[in-house]
Amino acid sequence: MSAETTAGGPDSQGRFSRATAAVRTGDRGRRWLVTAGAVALGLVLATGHWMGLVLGGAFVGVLQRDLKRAVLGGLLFGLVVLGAFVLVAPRLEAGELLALTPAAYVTLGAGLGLPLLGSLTRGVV
Amino acid sequence: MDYETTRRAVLGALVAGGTGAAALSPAGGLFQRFAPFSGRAWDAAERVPSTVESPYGPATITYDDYHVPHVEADTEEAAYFAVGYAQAADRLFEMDLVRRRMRGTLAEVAGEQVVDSDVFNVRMDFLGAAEASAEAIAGTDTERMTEAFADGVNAYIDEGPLPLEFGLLGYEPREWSVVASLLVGAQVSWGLTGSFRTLQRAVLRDRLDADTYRRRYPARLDHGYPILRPDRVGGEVHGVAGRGVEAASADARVGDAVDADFADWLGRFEPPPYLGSNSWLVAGEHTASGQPVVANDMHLTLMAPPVWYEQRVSAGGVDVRGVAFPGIPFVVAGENDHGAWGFTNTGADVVDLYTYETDDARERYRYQGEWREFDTETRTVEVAGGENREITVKKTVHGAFLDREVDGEARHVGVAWTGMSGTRESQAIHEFGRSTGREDVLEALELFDAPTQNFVYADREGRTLYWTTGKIPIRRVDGEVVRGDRVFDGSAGEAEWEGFIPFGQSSWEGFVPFEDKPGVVQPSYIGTANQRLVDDPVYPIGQEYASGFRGTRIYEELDAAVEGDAAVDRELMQEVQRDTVDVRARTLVPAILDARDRMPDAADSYLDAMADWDYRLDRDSTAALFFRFFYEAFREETWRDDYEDVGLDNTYWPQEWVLVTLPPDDEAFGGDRAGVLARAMERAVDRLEAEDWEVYGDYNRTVIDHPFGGQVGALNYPRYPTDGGSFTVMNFRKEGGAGSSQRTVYPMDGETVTVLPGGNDGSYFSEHYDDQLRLWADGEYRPAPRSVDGDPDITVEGKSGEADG
Repeated sequence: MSAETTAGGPDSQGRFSRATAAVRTGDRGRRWLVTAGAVALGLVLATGHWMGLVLGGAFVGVLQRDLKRAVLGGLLFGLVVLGAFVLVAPRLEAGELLALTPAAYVTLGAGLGLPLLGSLTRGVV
Repeated sequence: MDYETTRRAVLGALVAGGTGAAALSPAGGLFQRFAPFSGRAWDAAERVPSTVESPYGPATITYDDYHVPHVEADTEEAAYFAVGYAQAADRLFEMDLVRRRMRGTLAEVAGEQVVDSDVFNVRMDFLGAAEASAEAIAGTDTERMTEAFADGVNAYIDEGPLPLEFGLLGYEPREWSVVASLLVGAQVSWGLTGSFRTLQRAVLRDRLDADTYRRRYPARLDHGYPILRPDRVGGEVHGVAGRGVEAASADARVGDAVDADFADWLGRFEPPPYLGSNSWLVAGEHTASGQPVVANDMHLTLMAPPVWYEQRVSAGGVDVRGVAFPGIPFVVAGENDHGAWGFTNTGADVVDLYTYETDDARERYRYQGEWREFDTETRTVEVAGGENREITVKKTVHGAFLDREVDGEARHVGVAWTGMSGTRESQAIHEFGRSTGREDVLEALELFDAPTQNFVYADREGRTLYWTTGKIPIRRVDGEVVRGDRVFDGSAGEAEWEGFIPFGQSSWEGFVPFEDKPGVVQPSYIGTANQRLVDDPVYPIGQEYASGFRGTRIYEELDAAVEGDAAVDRELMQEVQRDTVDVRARTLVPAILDARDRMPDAADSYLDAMADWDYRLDRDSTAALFFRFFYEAFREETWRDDYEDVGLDNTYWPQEWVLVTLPPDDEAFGGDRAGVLARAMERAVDRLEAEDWEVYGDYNRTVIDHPFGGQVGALNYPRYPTDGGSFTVMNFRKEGGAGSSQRTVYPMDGETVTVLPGGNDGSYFSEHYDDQLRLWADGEYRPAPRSVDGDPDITVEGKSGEADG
């Protein structure tokens, strides 16, 4: 418990804030690189649970310079998720997925909406 | 609180609250099923694992160009494990759906809409019937193979991606078992022989005067093409009494008349009417090659994926290819190294109904002078999103006991059905696959207790066979053999089936002996299409047969081929399977044209088309389109008023043979058939003018849907124009959702060809989901080889130390 408390405590929050702030204010190349890492991490998390989509959106969002860019980043992350999902699934084609309504509505809605929701975290930090 | 702080608080609440609300609300469940990547439904888009371990030894599964698995192994057990794995990979949801339906557990996942069906199936205790069948095959090789099959299915459930439908419905399948496979068999048997027709007949006999009843529901339709034509069939004929006419051919006799509402209620649970099939064989003496040829197309429900699963199994000296019902390990209809076989439904009467004297509490019934307690059991039908139902399952000495209140009055009927006993048809079909010729097949046929079928067989030595399968009860009242078309007095033990034990093991001694069932050893050619079997059977067989339109056409074609110069070969048999001549039209159109002067002017173009018509229901025919709607109107104009007057709906209307052969002055036409034809013509013209159809194919398009296609339309097959109709050899019943569930021609000295109405892979994501549909719609075929090239797609690895099975 103590380790968790420490990890989530004021110090670590401060370090996280300082680190993300450094990315946000740093040069564009570094920001893109870290954002790419956040996208990759988000994709990995999304394969385990749908909350990974929220987290992925949040990771991408907090690295952006303002809330507007964060929301845009969240949406782009969602598109990347959907594109990667269709590409990676061995037997799934985009047309097949889109035809598979109403289930596809949930997939598209979750793919775009949950990262967007997560990206709003940028407005909190 | 400043603006920035408020904004942060709001956004924080939105993210945390939104995520938490989604997790705790139904949305969370939907995300778990359908979110990209993690949604369980999308497991179905994964590939089937290419290796699996088996305790029965190694095997390989290699799919051919149409996704037909070729299973090869050293032993049958190893092969049937692999068959179970392959069937589950391709059809697990379909298998589970049938199992749930027959067990009465479908509402547990599908909800309120299927509760009535579940309750009926529980009260009929199909599960008890399947358990009795498991006991009937206990200790046989068939049981061992079915166990290996079940283990293969379970290996897939454990390791493979579940089909999409499980994700859509949000449940996972339970373990497969021998009884589950036998439940699939029970569904097939009930689907082909289950009937409450006797009750409907009782109602009709009650509402119509005796003469009208006799004319409209004759014991025998007088077409000239029964299956067995003793003077033409050749060979050694069985099951014909030699009296010239059927002994018990009087009109139906009626015991206690039963309320129409009660009959209608039970009618809702009957299998769809008029499921039929075509099969025929021509012996080598009439074929171009000198070897027999067998043709078979079975008309069953058309659905996505198809009712049949095509497979080949090569193991232990057996090499068999054909179609199986998903969930049943063995090829049901197909061919092996030695011969080929096919089926059509017989229409034998293997259901009897009884009434009883019951006590006021309805806890006991009178039987042969004594009061007996019902055999009673309480079961629960679970309902997704609804209230569970406690069901009291009651049984008598005869079988199931079904009761219901109608207008405050208790109605009941006892039901005996041969399939309620332990039956061994799974053993029979297993043995067909292993057979080495006609003698083996004849021996296996004696095990085929249910359902009653017309079985045709030819072997590669030139031997041929036709036989009736299934146990057929003999009913005796006062020592006289009677038909089963009345409700019997169950309390008096009237017309009981001797040797029949429902939900137990029957000895069958009171049933038609095997050698007295209609059959022919070495027929020269024979055609079956669900018409009456024979004019003069040793024992009564059926209560109602198909109208005989398809049977007529098949025999017209075969007679012409055999008597003429045409080379009888596979291609000719394919032509016969594609025959679209509608005998109804051929019978009726001359009368329509004779009444032309009473027809409206607007009908002229249609009448001209009919005058030049060859009576074929082809997609490019205007006359066929018009006849389709004319005939519907003609039925309505003839029957609706008459039957509404006696309070009966269209399910009670007579068969089509009766309608097209009624005399022009029959009272059903008010003595004026031409007038009825003219009114029907007017209605048909109005109907067609309201539509955009120009030719038959504009209307006659495939409608082959998934059981949950109403909810997820993409699962349904595409619509293609096709030929044929309900009463043609090339069979497609658009409204009934039925038709040729496969078409196959087996030349004994050449390459077999076949086609399915869809695809062999039940996965929506597969390129083989519907890859044969266009071929089927166009009346085309593909090869059905008993060999395959290439590396195995799935390797079944034998686990050491457990191979004894």
